[in-house]
Amino acid sequence: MRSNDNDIHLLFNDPGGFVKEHQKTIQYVVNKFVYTGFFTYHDRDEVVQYVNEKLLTDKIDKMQEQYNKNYYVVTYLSKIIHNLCLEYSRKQKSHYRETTEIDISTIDITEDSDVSRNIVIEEENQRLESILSMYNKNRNRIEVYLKILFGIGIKEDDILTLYPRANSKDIDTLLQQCNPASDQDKKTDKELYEALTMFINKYEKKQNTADAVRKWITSKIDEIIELLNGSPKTANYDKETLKILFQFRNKNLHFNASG
Amino acid sequence: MHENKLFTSRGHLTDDAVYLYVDALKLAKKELLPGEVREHVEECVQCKRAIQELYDVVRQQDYSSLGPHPYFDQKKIPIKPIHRTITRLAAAIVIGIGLVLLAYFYLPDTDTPLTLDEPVDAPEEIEPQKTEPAPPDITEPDIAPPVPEEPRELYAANFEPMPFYENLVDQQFRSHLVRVQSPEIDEEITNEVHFSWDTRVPMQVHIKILNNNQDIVWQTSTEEQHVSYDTSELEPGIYYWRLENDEELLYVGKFIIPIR
Repeated sequence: MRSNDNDIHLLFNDPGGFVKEHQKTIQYVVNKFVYTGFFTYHDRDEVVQYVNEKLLTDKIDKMQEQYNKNYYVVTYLSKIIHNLCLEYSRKQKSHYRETTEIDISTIDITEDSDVSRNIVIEEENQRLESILSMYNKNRNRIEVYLKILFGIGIKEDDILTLYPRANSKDIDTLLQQCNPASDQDKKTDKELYEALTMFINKYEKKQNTADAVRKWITSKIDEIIELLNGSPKTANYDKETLKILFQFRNKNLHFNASG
Repeated sequence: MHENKLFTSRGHLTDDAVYLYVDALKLAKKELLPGEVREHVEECVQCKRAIQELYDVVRQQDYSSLGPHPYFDQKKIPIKPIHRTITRLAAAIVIGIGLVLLAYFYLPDTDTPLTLDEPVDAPEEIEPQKTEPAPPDITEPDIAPPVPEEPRELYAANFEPMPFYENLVDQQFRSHLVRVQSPEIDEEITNEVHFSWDTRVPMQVHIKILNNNQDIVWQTSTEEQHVSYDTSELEPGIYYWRLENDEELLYVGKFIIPIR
């Protein structure tokens, strides 16, 4: 088994051995590009060869110089390989990108949908989780606001997480507005923003307008969509498909997005 | 090997900091990242993009055999041991000088009676048998005077804050609502420390006390919402305590054991 200490030893003492030891890492990263349509399967071996040559002739020296031993070598190496793949792509001007962007709206997520589709959704959910976690202190706020706006529904705990001092009456009022008993009671986005803004202003002692709150949430949604789509772009999210993923995340599988 | 910088001159994360952040995501140890890194990423789309791009590359790679993480699983951040060593060295030098001075002034001198201990202006209040010990045996010069304690210097290193945990103190993590009632942050504990908290949902929690060297000095688990611990065995210093459930860190607090 490969340990980080072993990686460090090989990197500084046996560069050839280091590259040989990391053939799986190279193939893994190159395969990701193949999988997302950046290269064809036929390009694969050539790209692997290119990465190997570049590592041995150029990049290992730089890695020895730059690596500061505070993170795993394989994380650093993966970034180098990723950049070499992009470099190869630019040189070859190979942008196949025909059929492989993930479009979650085309995936049927029902109880009897096949396993591989659920795996894709689960992987996308993991990506969403990493993105949300980067919002640090705002993470809970974004999650609760999106639950409200995406019609997923919220619980008392969701509100108390953000506003521990909220009184029961205000909580009940917000819960009623955000968790309609029927479609007839369903609030418009404008009404939801207004209800949310009143709550925020009261418990954060602010003077926001509903429009300001809407803009803040919209900017966060746009950021999350951009991050989910990746760089280079590997997915095709928009607000609707983010909503689908968010619903999945919250275990509400009462939808069929295949249409 | 170059020095570890977290931010570029333009205020964004360096590549090193991005790699560190990605490792934190892989290992679910984001709370151990430096606070300024977490706060910057929270606000910076550009850095989020750089992190997510690399995380997408490594997300499914198997890191299970890599062993302890060079940053997150270290007892100290790299510059810390140096700082700590210097502090200890300085403390040792101060103690050494103190000992030399004390030896110079207090060592029994055969030519001079032992009168230095006696207050000049109140000699009559001192009973002779207490202030005048048995005459020193000058044939046994190796009998050393009592070694004076310099507690503040001895324990100086124990009072160094630990950056990792300083960033976490009094923050609430994730969605579990935990209200910690005691101890207060930086509360000085002289006897028993009483931990008490309120979780909205009943759950088993684990309490761990760590010294400023990140060593766990005591831990327990309970389904109650309070627990006490007798600190008499603990050295004076800064202590951090973690409240965790089976899945995640809920709270980090801090208390002080003063020099007794």
